[in-house]
Amino acid sequence: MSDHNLMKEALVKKLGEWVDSAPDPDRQVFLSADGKGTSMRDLLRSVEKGTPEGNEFVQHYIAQFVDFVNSKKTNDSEGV
Amino acid sequence: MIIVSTDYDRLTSVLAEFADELENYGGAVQVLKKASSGDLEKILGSSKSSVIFFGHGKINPPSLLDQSESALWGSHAESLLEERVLYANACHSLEALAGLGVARIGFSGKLEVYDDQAYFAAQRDCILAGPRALLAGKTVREAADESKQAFRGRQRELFRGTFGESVIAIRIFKANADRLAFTGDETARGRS
Repeated sequence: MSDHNLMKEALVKKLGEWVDSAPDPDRQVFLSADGKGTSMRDLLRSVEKGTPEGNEFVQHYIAQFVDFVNSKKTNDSEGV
Repeated sequence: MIIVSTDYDRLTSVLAEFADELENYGGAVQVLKKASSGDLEKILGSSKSSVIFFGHGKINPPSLLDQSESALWGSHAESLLEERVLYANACHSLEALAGLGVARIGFSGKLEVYDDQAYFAAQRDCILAGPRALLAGKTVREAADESKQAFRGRQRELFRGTFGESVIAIRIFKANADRLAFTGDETARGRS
């Protein structure tokens, strides 16, 4: 399995836990100014199904995670 | 500046509440709430101020929507927008404003809001950073950059928090930062 797929799998698992722990995961919390709304569960489904919206979220999440790890590494090095 | 907002569903209600903050600028702003296209045309006919809109937009055909969910202006009113800086916090607003005014700031694609009171202040600050910059006399480029940087700053901050916050960081703050842009004369400044 590729690194990307491993990270996506981990992300889906965490999203699932997040959805399960939410008091109302079907409420449309992501409101868009074109009149449409998305719930936490919709987001999870879009990631699981690999829709264009879900894939975009996964790509951006992984990219931000990598940036975050790299910045931590740099900061740690600077501290030595 | 003319602050225009609508209020007919959850999202427009949240954006209208954000827009209310700009009333603190007193005489520098003229406020049009629950805006109808007719009321806006009257104001446009009597002033050359910049326009800042909060509400819904759609892509087909590209347009901003008034309180009755009709186009905020028809083609006959487009000449009234000449020489103005136009700023719209709405979905597809950059597409809806294409070719109008001297410069335009808006969203290419969706503008999204996370519907949780705990995140409203952060979202309001990001969305209003641009309008506030224009009101402070900054250029179109500076105003767009300030809002974009505000979204990016919150994105980084939230990503370091809980898992839920990291999701909101990407799904809302990064997405909005990526989609915010300007076209036209980047050195143009807002006019009150």
